[in-house]
Amino acid sequence: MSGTALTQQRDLFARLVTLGEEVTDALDHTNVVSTLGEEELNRAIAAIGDRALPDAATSALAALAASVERVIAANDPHRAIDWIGMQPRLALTLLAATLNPASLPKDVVPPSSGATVAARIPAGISFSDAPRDGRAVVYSGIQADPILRPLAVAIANATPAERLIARAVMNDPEPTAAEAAALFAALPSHRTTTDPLVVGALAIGGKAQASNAQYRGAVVEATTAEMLRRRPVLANDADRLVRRERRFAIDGVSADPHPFDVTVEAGPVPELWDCKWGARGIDASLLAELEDARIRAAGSSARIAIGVVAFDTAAIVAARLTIVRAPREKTRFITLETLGRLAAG
Amino acid sequence: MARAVSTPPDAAHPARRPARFATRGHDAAAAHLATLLADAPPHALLIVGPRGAGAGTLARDAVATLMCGEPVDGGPCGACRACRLIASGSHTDLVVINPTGESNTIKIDQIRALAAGFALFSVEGGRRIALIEHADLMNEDAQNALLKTLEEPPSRTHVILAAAEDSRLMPTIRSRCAVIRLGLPDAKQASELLGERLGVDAPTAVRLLRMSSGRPGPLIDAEATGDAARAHAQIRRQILDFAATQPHARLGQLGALVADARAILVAGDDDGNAADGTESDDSSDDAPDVDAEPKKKSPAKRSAKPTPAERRAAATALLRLWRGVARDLALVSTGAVDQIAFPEDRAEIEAVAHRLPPATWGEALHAIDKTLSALRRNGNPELLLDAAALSWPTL
Repeated sequence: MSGTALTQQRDLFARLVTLGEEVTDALDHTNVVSTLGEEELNRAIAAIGDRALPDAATSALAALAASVERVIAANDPHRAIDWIGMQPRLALTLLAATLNPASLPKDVVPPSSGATVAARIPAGISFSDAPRDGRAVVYSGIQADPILRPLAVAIANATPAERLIARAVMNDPEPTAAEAAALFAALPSHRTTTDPLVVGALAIGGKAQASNAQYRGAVVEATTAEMLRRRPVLANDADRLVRRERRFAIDGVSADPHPFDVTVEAGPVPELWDCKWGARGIDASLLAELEDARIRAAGSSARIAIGVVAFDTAAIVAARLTIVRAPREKTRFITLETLGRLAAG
Repeated sequence: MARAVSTPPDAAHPARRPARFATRGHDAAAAHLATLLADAPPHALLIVGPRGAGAGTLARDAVATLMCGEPVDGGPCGACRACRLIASGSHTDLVVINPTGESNTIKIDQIRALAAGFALFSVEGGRRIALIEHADLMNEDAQNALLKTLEEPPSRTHVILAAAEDSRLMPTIRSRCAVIRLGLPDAKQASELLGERLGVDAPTAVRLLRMSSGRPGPLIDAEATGDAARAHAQIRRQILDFAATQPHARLGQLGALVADARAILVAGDDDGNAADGTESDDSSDDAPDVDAEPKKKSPAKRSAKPTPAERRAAATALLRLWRGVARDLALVSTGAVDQIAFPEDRAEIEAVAHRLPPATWGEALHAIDKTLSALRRNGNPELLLDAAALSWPTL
């Protein structure tokens, strides 16, 4: 029984890879991620052997299989690439949740340190709202959607396993409440379909394809901002100091080609964060732009911190970075498992 | 020009190391070198050996012997003018070339300067010698330039190259050199050397040598102490405890582990020297050999905020040590207890290893190897460590 369920996952994975490989521009990414996923699935199959799986695991794996079937049926190779990174880790997480819940990772929020009041931003550095072009107007409407803030709070409070499942639901072409419930039921927390995390994820997943991608991006930004607002040092004035879609200037001269997703506008080291739904969104131009902003600030003897928040697993982001040729030594990377580090500073 | 081929010591040339050679733990190679230099000094000599294992020292012994006015027992006398000038680093007929710049390579300008110098008369009236340390870090242009000098060497000139990986040298350079290959030094002699140079007791010297995979060079370079050995042991135990630690707690401990790994860098794990207790097969490392122009790296000189290079080096050191622990766990789980690298941890290793199937530890070792490989391909150190900690087996 267990063998069948996991073998089915491997077959579906192979079909996802075939679909993803249609995007020739992303072949490098697809290769490194699919190699990683294939190894994980094979390892899981070998470890489980003929052992019978708990009912919760069987139901959850069936729900996962149904989601993957829908992704394949939608014939969207870009979505398939995202799932190539997600499906094996999700299958392993569901197995771990039912067989050895203690092995599930929790987010780490290291103790905060430093002053209790935010310092002023260094002289010469300034931030301003991005110009309201057509895209910004549309996107600001999405960002203001009341569904996002509660979902961001729920994600911030969730465990990495819950975030991963929510991520899958949000990127399911047509998620169903029953299947989402089956996935979440495998976890020790047993979130129901009335839980804000499940409700929010289903709502995002239910968006039409065109707006779904924008909503997913907005979820990552909202979650990043939510985490940053939790820093004790920003607590008294978090809404003013943690901002979205802001431009960055040095001595009044714009120092960025486009707005940064989330900024921390407090000293002594202001922060620029770019947010990505998946590891694939991290590319050389993104890293170069962040590094460029940092270097420009350094040229004016000012320090800024730069970082990327990827709503993806650490393993996938690490694999992605091995094929991206761009400066990244000064860039912080936050992943789905380590969102808590944003709150710690 | 015919290729000069090295030959091992034989009955006619008994393996006796010249008394004044600084090289330790390579008696046969030292004796062979002395014979080679006494019989017919080659105009080009390549000494190949693992970084920190003594190739640089043997190359300097070769230089001293060739320069010495009154060689004794096949080695330098240590008393003549030439020997004194070499000892003080001021012999005008000796050019020492090392990698320079951020790229840490030997560049064409350095080799052109060498060729120009060889065209001049000897100041001291004897031989003129170029010692190229870390010769495998010569870039392609520099190698091509050196080839011209090797093809048409001026009279009474010699080029001595010390390298960790001769495969990085052009075949046309290798074919024009007499080659001496070194392995790791004799463990007993290397431990004695550490005891003398570092002032540590014999058991500590043995432990230090094990942490640097049998290479005394990096330890002497870093002036390692017993504290480094203790830090090393502490990190190993923490990694062993990882299996019984929940993944999220591991993430929380990584920062401290990396900081500890920075401490053991002082003991020679940096710059690519293996810290896993086994001989590294890493071919991409660029570690300077301690024996040549040692670069002192004391803890006090390390800044509080690590540079990107230091972060990467610390992550590499930690992962190498992690690999050593994974290897020991895999070995013990398959019954090969006598082959583990850190026998002092045997009890702890056995306690952990037998609680999971051997295949699990084999896969864990494979995963750490892949992580190290990703780090060499410019992967992000912190992310890779996060991923490694999350995927490490849980009891």
